[in-house]
Amino acid sequence: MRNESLKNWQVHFFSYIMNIEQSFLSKAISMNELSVRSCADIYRRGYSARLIESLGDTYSATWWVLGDDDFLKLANEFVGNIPSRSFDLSDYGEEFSNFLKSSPVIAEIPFVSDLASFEWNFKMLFHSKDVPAVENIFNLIGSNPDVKIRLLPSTVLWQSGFAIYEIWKRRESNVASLNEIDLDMRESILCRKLDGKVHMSYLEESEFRMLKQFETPRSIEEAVVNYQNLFGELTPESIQSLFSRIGILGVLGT
Amino acid sequence: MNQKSTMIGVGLRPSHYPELEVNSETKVDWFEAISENYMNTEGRPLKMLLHVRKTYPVALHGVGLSIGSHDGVSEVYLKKLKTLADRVDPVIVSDHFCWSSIGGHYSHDLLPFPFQSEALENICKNVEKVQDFLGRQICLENISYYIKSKSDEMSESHFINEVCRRTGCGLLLDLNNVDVNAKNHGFHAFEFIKELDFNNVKQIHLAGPSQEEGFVFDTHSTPVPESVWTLYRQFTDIKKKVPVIIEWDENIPSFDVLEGEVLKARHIVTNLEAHP
Repeated sequence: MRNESLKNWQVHFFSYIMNIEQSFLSKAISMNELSVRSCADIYRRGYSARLIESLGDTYSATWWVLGDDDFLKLANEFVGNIPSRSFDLSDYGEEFSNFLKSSPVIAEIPFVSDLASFEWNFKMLFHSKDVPAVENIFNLIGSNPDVKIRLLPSTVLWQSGFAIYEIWKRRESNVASLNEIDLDMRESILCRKLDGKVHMSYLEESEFRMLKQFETPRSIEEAVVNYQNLFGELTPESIQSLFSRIGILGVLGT
Repeated sequence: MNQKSTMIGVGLRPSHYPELEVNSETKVDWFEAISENYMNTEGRPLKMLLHVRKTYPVALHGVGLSIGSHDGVSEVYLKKLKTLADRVDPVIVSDHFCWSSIGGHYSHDLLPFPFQSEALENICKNVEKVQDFLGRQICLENISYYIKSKSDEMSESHFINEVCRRTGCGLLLDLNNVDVNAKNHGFHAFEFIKELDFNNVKQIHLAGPSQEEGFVFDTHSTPVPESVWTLYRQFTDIKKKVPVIIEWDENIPSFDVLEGEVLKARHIVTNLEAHP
């Protein structure tokens, strides 16, 4: 065979790797005594193994909860459906949480999708740039109340109807330790990267809701109005108390 | 890179971070970091790389440039690589004679292309683009492959020599890959090496494969085998002072085992320099 175009070779090779079609086998020569299929399968298996390994690295707690058989079965199915679209292998698998939501396993382990989502957020924060805490942001802007405030980019607000952080903390223990916690305990958590580490702190519901306002840059007044429209009236005292509590967290900047 | 004696180093791997964090004195002359592991992070990996760079020369070795892809090279990738190179100031920037992505999908593998004129033109165009963008020479490594194209028009050695000649890029000669290919495809390893233009060889890789059923697999999971040490002796007998990196990527041993491999390479170099 001559004049096989480079593009054809690459498209058909990739289609074989992704188990889409097999015409690549007619374009290739094998090694040793092996068949062309056996040789091409080295690449097909490698593709699948690398993506599953990457999912395992990102979703180690999800793996722990599901156990080897279920995790590998689901990961294999996910890899068969979702190709990698980034040169960076660790970018792979953002959709895994949604995938779990639509899988039968969610009926048995209802928190598993939230756990996967938490792990993805953790990984993204781990690799994000360290941003120093901002002290007393509300004092700094005292002279200009219209200044827009935002949540620092090294921060994620996490909320779940399950005790995901408690589950995740136990990921290196025996899975039976999950029996020790109330899995249905609702949680609101501030996750932040500081000094090279990801820190977690529990938030009151009102703190979470107000911090959430600053995921979009807003003035304090805009945030309060928005909060009140969504969650009801706040007294001047409760506003002051709330802002003094979230101010000292150091996660708001201009 | 000018040096008095042969630079012999190892691949920088996360399992060795704790030791390297506290112990900057090693038996290693330099390190090679996998570029992609540091291009998308501001976390501990990058901090460790910059920490190591304070003491040692570092090469950036990529696996995701996909320089042989018909789609060309990703500009996003190139910008991230340049940013990393500007931060690290590497002595060598390298990738592979391969492709890994097509149509926006990534294989995360080093895939072979046909050794034919269209692939040659394509890769030369891509190498020139990368070198222009980075403002420096890059090196490309010969890969191990388990399948070949029926439409090959030239030998691998001729292909490599031509890419280097046309673009001015360097060759990162992986002796383990030559050994693996020679065993799998039935040719004489050193005869292949002798067909290469030694002037292009800017760096050497040594590693150990694993024996699978019916073929040798380039896993970087074992000590450098005697057949690869023999190739290294034969190569070094002809061309000296080419910087060496010993790679180990699976079943990674403790750092002192890697240092032992470095000492083996140094012993070979010392003997050849004492008895030229």
